[in-house]
Amino acid sequence: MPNDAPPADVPAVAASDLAKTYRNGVFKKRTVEALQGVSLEVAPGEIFGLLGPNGAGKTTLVKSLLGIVHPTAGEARLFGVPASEARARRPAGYLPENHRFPDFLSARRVLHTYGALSGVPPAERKERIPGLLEKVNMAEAADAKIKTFSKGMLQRTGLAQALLSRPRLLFLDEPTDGVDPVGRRQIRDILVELQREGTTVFLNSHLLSEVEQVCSRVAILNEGKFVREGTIEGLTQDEHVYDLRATPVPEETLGALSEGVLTAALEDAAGPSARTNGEAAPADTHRYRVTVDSRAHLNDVLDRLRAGGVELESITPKRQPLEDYFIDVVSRGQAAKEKEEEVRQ
Amino acid sequence: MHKLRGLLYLTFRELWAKKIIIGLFVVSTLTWVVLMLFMNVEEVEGGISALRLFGGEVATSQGGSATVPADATGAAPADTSVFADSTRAARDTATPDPEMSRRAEPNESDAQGGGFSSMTSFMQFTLVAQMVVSQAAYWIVILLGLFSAAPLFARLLEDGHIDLLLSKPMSRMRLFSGHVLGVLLMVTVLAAYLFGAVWLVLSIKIGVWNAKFLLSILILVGMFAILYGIIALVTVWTESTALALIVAYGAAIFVSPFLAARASIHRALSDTGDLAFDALYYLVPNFAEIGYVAGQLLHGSPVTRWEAVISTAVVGTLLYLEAGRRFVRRDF
Repeated sequence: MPNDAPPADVPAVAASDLAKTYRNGVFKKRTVEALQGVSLEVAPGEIFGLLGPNGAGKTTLVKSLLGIVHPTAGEARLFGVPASEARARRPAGYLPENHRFPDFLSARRVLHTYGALSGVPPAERKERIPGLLEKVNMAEAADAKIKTFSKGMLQRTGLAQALLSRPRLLFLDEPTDGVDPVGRRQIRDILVELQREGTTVFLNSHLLSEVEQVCSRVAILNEGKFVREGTIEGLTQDEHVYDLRATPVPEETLGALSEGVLTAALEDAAGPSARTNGEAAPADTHRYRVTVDSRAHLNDVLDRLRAGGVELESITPKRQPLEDYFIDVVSRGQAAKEKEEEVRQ
Repeated sequence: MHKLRGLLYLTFRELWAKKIIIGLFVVSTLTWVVLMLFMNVEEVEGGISALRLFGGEVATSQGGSATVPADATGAAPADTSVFADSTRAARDTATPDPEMSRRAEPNESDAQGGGFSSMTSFMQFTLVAQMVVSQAAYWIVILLGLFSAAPLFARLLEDGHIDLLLSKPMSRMRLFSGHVLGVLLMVTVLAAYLFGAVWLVLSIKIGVWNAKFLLSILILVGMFAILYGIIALVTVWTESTALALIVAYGAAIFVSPFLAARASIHRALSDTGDLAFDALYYLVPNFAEIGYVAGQLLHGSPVTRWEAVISTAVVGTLLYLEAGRRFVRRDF
């Protein structure tokens, strides 16, 4: 799907020390630091998720990367080309949040018009538009006026518009906003398909479950700064906490371990759990939580269990849902800020 | 090229969606249709003897005065006057109308623009009709056109719309100039339609081919462009269409008529007042005065107010440069 292949070693998106300060007010200037030295790299073919609470600076970051906002400091590049240059946007598609198409045009006409603005030749537009409308489930409403569309239909038309120029890099700002669950699923499938085809996706979304399902890497932006960045697995994994499924642990073995190292998992307190990952778990196994200090400590605990005659079924690092992790990080940041303000006062 | 075409299409469609533009096309159509249906030519022995508008006689072959010998192919001096084309056309079509052939070459005073009274009544009527259309269109098309096009610039800057446009692989200056070009093309089409149709109807019916009437298209589009420059600058600066219209209309309707009376106002002012008035004269587009220049051009008279034309053109250029600079530097 992507057009001319990007150089393999050049990041699709690169930003270094990107800062943006808005100055408002006529007489008394009020400054808002929307971005404070943000640096990031997104590799070609990656689906990158940008998370953050309202007002964190997510949209400003996306706009800075696309040259819609001029950064106060720092530099952004798309496939190695400075974002301030028009040619940097040649491989990019963009679906802005709350986009507005001329409401007197039909979905088909919108795609033709914005496709022309992207430099897509008429013959190619004619060939691709029906397929794209089909893909986003808008084929039936292709010739209806935009003013008659629901929010979900607008989003789907917007997505088709962003895909028309066969972008190698796709920026999506809240793409599933107002879309019903079926539509959301379709959009997720499209993103996964795009990734398979080598398209880089930069996804800005409030729907954390959605981000969790499609993104290979995420970054959390809070008050204009990245507070966390990494793979979903890396970020949501509880350090040195594991879920263990094993045959019942004898009392004497349990007593030999330090307090709190091995506890019965809550759902197993009343008895063996029925399922693990959707599959039937052996009836004679229980779930335990193992909390250790280090990898060596973990191995020591497992050795002791085996020595006590316990048969291990599985052990997996404990992960918390991305949503919990996100709330944890953001509220920790908020608490730190409040503490700082208290100290200052 | 695809991008520019897309931008022009978008601007055209947005303007077309404003009903005022459609209204202006309807009024233009009515103008030439009325002229075509209600302006009747009476012919005697193959020549025009009288011209009637709404049944009333407005010109006859006895009216006005023809000062040139009947032999239109004679050695008349090189004609640079307003009716040069009409006479050539009359000669080319070998109209049998003795009046038409007699009026042929305007004399020296015509060439200097002072020969209105020496024209035939057909010429006079044609000139007056063209003058009325030109002046009315100058005010109505420009002021209503601005009213219709001004919200387009604010719409261009709207969140969600401008983001989409700026994410496309084209420079901001290209986007800005493409939008302005789209608006000006639409006004050019409208003006060309109105003036072209009126010119054709009058010329074909009366046989007076005054090509200088078509200069009105240039004047109208040029003046519209300059006032749209005010709209662009004020809107990109403040995002307020209302303020942009107030400033543009204020300059055109309220200030420019005073500026047009510069000579008489100068006499009533002190030296400081003169200086302030001159500053205003050179800073504000001289809408009213250029309307007068349009009349002079149409009539074939020498243009006496080039100063107003030049200062207005310079101000217009500066307006676009500043609007473009602000558009390029702005965050959206």
